[in-house]
Amino acid sequence: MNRIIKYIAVAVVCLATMPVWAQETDVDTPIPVADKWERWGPTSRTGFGFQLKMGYSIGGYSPLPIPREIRQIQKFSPQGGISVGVEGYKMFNRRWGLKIGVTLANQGFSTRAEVKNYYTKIVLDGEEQKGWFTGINETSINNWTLTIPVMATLRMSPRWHVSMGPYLQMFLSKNFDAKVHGFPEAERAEDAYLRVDHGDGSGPTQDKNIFGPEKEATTSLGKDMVFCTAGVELLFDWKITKHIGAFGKLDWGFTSIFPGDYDTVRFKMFPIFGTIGGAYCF
Amino acid sequence: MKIKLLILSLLLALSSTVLLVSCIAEAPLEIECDIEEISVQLENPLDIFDQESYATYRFLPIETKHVFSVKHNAALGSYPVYIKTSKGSTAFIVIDGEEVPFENGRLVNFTNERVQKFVIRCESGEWSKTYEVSMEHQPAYTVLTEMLITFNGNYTIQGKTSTNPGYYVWTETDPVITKNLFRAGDPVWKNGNPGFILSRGSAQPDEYPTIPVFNGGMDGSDCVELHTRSTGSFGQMVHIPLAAGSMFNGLFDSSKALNDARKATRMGVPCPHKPIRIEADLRYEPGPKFQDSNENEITGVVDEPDLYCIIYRNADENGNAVVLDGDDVLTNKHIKGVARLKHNYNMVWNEEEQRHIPEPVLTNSPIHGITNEWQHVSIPVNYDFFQTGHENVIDPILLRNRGYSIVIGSTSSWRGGYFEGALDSKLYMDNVKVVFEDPEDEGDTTLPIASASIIVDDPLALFPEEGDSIQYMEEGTTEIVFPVKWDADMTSVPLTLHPGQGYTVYDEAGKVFVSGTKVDLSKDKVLKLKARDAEGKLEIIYTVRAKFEDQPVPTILSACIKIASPLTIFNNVGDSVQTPSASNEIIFPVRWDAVVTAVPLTLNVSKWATVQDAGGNSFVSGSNVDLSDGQFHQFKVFSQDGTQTNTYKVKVKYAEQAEFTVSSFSIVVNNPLEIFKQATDSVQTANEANEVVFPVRWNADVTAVPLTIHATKFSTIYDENEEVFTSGQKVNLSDGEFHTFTVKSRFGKNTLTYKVRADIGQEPRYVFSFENGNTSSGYYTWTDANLASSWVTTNPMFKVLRTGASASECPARKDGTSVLLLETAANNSTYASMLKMRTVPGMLFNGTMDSYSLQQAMSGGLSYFQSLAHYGAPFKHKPTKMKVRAKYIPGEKYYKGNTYTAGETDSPDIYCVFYRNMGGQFVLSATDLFTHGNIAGYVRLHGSSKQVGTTWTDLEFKIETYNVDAAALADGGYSMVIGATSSWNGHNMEGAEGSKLYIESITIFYED
Repeated sequence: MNRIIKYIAVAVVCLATMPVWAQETDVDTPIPVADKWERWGPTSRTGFGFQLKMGYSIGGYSPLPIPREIRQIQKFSPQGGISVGVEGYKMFNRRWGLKIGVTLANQGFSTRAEVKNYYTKIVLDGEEQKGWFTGINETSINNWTLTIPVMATLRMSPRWHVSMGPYLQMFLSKNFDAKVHGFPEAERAEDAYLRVDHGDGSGPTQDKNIFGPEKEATTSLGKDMVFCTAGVELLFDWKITKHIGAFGKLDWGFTSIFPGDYDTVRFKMFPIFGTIGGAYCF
Repeated sequence: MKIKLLILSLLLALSSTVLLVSCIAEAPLEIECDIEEISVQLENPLDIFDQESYATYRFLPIETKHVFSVKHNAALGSYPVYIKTSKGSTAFIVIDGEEVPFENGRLVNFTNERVQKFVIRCESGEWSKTYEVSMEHQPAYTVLTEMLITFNGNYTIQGKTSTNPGYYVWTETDPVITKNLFRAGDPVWKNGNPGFILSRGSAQPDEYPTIPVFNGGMDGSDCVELHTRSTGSFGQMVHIPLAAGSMFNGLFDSSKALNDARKATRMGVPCPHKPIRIEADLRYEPGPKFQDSNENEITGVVDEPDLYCIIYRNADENGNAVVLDGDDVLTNKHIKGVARLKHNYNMVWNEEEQRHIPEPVLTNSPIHGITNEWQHVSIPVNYDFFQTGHENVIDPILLRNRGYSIVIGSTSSWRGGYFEGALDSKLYMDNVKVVFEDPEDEGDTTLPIASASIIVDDPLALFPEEGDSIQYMEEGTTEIVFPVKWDADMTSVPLTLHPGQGYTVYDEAGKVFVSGTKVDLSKDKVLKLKARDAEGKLEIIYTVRAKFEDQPVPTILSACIKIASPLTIFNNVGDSVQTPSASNEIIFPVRWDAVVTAVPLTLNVSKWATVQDAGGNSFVSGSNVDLSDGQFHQFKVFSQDGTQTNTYKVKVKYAEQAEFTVSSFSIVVNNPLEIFKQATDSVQTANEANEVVFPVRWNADVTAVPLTIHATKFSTIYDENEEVFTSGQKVNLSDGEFHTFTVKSRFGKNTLTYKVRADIGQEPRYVFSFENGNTSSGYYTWTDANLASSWVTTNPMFKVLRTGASASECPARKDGTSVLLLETAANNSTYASMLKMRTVPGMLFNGTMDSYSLQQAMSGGLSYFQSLAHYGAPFKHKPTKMKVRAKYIPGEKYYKGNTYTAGETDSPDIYCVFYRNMGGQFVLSATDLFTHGNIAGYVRLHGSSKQVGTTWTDLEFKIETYNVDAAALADGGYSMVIGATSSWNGHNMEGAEGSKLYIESITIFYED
């Protein structure tokens, strides 16, 4: 968690320092308001424009709200995070326009959580056990995604754009690896177990499979993930110079990364990622 | 503002992720609904159960049914039932088809072996589980001499699910087998198959470790194949790479299979028959590669099968159930007898349990003898499997009451429990036969009571020999006597009786005596029992008692002085514990300087023994004793009943004293400089003659000074009166004589004698004597080393007046060898009248005299003479006292100048004048010798109250000085004059002819 706070702090400092000198130039050479719009505005008379963007994205897949089966998140660490994209826009008038983008992003993180009665599947060589697991679950995820948002964009001021609209996000590669194991503490040596689900509707009433401190089992759920998810993107653009800008955006998925009838992970996992970066505006 | 908006939005985007992972909801509701444990709680469980432990059962997670086995003749009713269920779950009991909330302690009706249903609902309400609980009578005991297990056609496939094809399960239907090898309601052979499904659930039934072989037996019927299989990657990951085929009676707790597979196998079921042999048809093919649990091949080792039959006591001394598991099935101390295929072992002696423990040895040359060809084997049950030297006793009554359990076990890899073995090792097994002892062979049971036994976990705590715990009755005797150890605690021992056919045993109150009831057979207690035959016609009274062995002689096993820091007393810590010698002497070697006036003495005595000290008082071990005298102290040990005694003697033996010295002597006072010139003088060591001398000041008060003698510790000092002298005690050293002190070492072995005295200094003084007069100038002259200037006399002047005078005619001369004689000489010269100087006084003083001219004297007269002399020389001490020894004979004719004056008597003068010399600039002259203002003090004979007689007189003058400047004194700023004259007024040319002053010496005392 500390690492996340650190990233946020870095982002805030970077962004907070940039506008300071930018504003000063404004003061030195006062320009009439109308000229300002021209000066910072789209470069072409037609109101078309492109932006190349590169950034760092951070976030995760999370059920909303966090289900009660997850008792304690012991570790969260982001991984990867490269985001490269291109956006095109068409301004219909001075304030309103449409924006369409394509972003290639790497979404990665790993977590370790204590779970209780967490329904899962341990799969190995095509043989699997499903059931309710109590113990430690470690998940490591690293996916490449292609996100295509279609957004309305509002030019709030000569240098500020805010855009919002739906997106589709496709998974180009899918890695969702989980590992379950027992509690490392000796006094909880017999507290971790899988209550096997025989699939006959008898529920957690049959085999109980104790995971001692050393025992672990793994599973890969990547292949079970959906092809694409949908959500809403909220994007802020700010121009540093006429051609160089900074941006921050939030992609909030409204559909789960697993199919709706998926019974290995019984709650919906929504991708939620924030990205910050720089842009070159043609 | 816009900037803030951007930052805010970014913060929102990022922190929302953070918030998501940090908000944790309440714990989920529990979803499990197991009964973990069920127990029937009775005041006397043995009323209906064969064993106390049968009243409680721990369910396996997968189980939903339990049948309590009760005595074959127990009348069943309603009993209070207690259950422990999963956390959060709620229990219901089904009454008339309706679920009624169940509360612990509720009476549950078990009449007629009816099945009671319990429904457990989980906290979330999502799941429930229904349990069936009942009681079932054990079959009445019938003699069984053998049972045959054929594994023929009694297998089905179970555990089938949508994804798992399932596995084979063998269910016994032969009541002879189910009633003796299986728990009621659970007639299923156990093996690793249910655990294997967890690791390779997709395996086909034939791919499991334990499978049937249709018509594959030696006799053409079905047999069992035990096949060591790989567990696949899941098992490998948990270091259980293989699963050996197995078959045993008992329980398999699959929940522990992956975590602790050996603990998952709980082997054996109570059986009322004593096995003596196991037989089977066997065929074995060892797998090609023996591997360890990490799948490393171990070369040179061949896999071996296993088959065994074990009988063990199924409860411990506290009545808790004992069930063997995969860890201890062949080593548990409750095991009584073992029949097992032959293997190579190391038998390791266990001192604590007094038995050998077999440790398997892996070899390439097994000795089990099973080959790939079918063969029939027969293995006897060894009742001394652990090689204790005696056979374990099976209590027949306990046996019949199912106090022993039997395990029939087999496996394709004998080390399979430790996940070692060869994949594809195959044991084919068929027609396993267990042969039991025929109790009819035991002999006569027509006696009302055939035998009595006291079965305890550790019989040797009570009985001299294990066999003494069972007494077989002989015809005609009604006394049952258990020989027991003298210290056996027989106040509450379980008595088991084996009544004859048709007989029932009653206690004195007429109630049926239940075997296993705890009775009091302590000393002098006799238990009366009645054995009645079925018709109640015949009643025989039996007595039961314990015969205690004589008490052994009480002994002290060891003695110990336990203190926090033993090395203050002992040279070695180990010396603090001693065992008695053959003559009952306990000697603690202690340091020479040990203090043992009060040391805690612990006496470790034989059981029940008590101790008295020499005074006949009871001695509590650990009490303080005084052993300082080094003599023996007696302790008497009594047996519990006081009939036996034993006497011991305890003492300390001091080590030789390593060193004995007297290091120094000291006089310690607050201000040492009052006594000593230097503070270091207050500490002295002895010289070679053992003399100690303290140099003290001449004026020190040493009539009572504290003397400390530093000697090796524990020494004793005696003064010259042979009285004990304590260091620091005051002694009188003022006599300056030696005082003797004797120092004796601890225990008086060594003695050192010292003589101590004070060396009292002399008062500082200068003694001026006149032995060394020199006559080379024609008259006597004296010099003195202590005088800064030489002595001045009137001799030279006299020689001018009387040139021919000899030295002995001059006024200042020696009389004899050492006496100074000053004589007022007559001046008979021609100048006498011119000088108005009829006499020349005998004068002596220190100072200088100017050179002298007769002409000037004649013209200058008296004042000239008076101006010649300069009195005194610098003196750096303050004079305090002058002592003179002198005598005086006055002359007869007294002259003033030239004039004879009658009636005058001459008198001498001796003086000492101390004066300030103003930095050497000032010298006293004759006219102001006693009057000058610079004078700081003087004494003189003339005019004082002192008189010099005509015989030798000792004179002492105290010199009072005043206003003496110490710095000037040290700097030579004071001078002193010592002088003497035969005519006190001689310097005024007066005196009597022939006045003679004799002076032996002049002593000036001064301050340091």
